[in-house]
Amino acid sequence: MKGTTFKVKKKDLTAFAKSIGVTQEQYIGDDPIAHPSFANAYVFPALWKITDAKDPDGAPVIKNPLKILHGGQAYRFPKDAPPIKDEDKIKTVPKIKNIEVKANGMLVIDIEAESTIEKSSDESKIGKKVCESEIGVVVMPGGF
Amino acid sequence: MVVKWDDLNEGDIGPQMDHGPLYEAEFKVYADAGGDSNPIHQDIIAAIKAGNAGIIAHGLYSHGMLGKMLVDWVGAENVRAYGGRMTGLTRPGDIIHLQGIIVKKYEEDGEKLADLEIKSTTKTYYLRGEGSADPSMSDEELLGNLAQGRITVNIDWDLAGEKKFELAFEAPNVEINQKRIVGDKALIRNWIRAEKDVIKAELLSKRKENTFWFGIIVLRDAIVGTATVAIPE
Repeated sequence: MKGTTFKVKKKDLTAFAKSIGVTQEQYIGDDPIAHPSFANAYVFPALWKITDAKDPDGAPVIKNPLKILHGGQAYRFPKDAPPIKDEDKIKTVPKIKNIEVKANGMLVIDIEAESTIEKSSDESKIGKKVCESEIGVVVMPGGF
Repeated sequence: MVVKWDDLNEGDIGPQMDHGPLYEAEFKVYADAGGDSNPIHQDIIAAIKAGNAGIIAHGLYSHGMLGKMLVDWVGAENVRAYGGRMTGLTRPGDIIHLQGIIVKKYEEDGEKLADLEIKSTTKTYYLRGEGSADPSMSDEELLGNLAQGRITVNIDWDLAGEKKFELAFEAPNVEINQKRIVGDKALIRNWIRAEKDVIKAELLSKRKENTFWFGIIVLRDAIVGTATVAIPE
């Protein structure tokens, strides 16, 4: 699967924080940093890459994206991860770890992803890992 | 709140947070902010076409709340990991209850760490109403009787005009004032009860002689997972 690049914008940092009820100034003020939960936003485009997956005949594996459900999501944040700020670019590289059809007819896809800072005005942040993710995606019967 | 290492014990409830009742408009705000514009979170037709009973919240919405709960507890710089499995759906009208239980305290690489079991549970009202019972009945017994109650819904709807909706609730050893029963939207939406659902009753006000106000609620796990946090010195 191809990686994705997410350009961080100040308004997105604050809008996201406010959408989950965050009130601390450091996340919603004039010079915000990303709340840890903001990983939801920069990892999500990588997750959506599964809709690009093709079977050996070239047909899309997922035929109805409306049948996709989130099975689970977990993050690990390195202790020395730099703060994510406005104008940073985050690259997320996903890998499919497992894919199987369960007895209940659901297609379950396990993905691992690693997010690093690809571009930043603060050069010391470039190449630093900000998050490792494990993502579980479930496709309901009829969706694949 | 300042969390102190010495005050934490394995088995204790650590962070807790409630949010809700949820409105559909919040899902739109989250969709725009989180980048997930899947229509099943905003468009009832798309949600039904996908096999749901109605609009559902983004799984990552509750997940984001878990992150908020942990950050509020120990600060962002101390959140090392968190996540979980989405085990149930969250819908408009639900109240989200988030909680972390400390399962392990330990030191590693010079850091004081705590592992937590974290959970997001949705609380959904089916109905609220007024009842009366013998004042000698304990609250515990009363709530137990209410939780064994039976809801009857009778809908007679002539699409050309007349609508008739009758709701009744009966529970053992409790007199229910049938004129003061109010059903929530969730009663219709969720009436196919899942096996893992927990049905409970709760008192909405203090008992006054023999009368009381009560609610019938459904508790459903939405996310079950784990977290690791550093405890600041």
